[in-house]
Amino acid sequence: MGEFQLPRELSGPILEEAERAGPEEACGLIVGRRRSNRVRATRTVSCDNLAPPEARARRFEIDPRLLIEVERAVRDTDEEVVGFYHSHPDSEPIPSELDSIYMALWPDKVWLIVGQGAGDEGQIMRAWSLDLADQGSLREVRLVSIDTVMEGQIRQAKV
Amino acid sequence: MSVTVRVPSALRKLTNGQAELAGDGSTVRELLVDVGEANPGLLDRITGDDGEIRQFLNVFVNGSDIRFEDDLDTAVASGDEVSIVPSIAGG
Repeated sequence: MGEFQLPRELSGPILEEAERAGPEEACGLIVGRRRSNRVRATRTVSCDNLAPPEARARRFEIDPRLLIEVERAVRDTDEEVVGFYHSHPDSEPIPSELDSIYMALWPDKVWLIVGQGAGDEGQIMRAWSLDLADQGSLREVRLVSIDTVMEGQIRQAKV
Repeated sequence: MSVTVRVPSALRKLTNGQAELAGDGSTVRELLVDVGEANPGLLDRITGDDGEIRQFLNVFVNGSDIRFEDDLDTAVASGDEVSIVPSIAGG
């Protein structure tokens, strides 16, 4: 996957959701379209974090039945569930060891992570996937905000 | 009419890329054995050495988790849809 295009009208609410969920992790599904080497998000589905309450600051879990429902709804369309998002309330938006374990179960999905940027950057997003051409190694996907054409990381202005 | 099995992307290299398989059986176990015969290696990725569903995998019959039914002995009938869904989680 060469590029993950995320419209601003989707990235804003994800960042807001992560902010609201803190100190717990927010999570959800990302629906979109694949175009050769690019994936474009078209909508998101916010999900309850089903991890045990005492673990939600460091873990997330999505009800797989939601995925089944959404996949059924988009079947026979050009949309599909292209990825998942979640937040790291107190750390960088880099896949944790636990993330990597579950990413291996979803080799064609984008994992969008909201986390803390360096210094006073506030919350930022980064996108990841497994490189199937390289024995499933973890690699960062170029994240493009469609509205601003700003590539790389999407920053949220600090209030 | 057979039972439909929805295969997650992680296992599609064992199904020639097919996301959907058709199989027969009166229970989930029989169904998985049936589709496993036509797709070598598939059954071993779904069930472990103990014969039960592997950790991190979930199996649903028409959207109902078989862990809350009769596990692999859950009944299936023609026209049912069985979904194999890896866990979606992380930290």
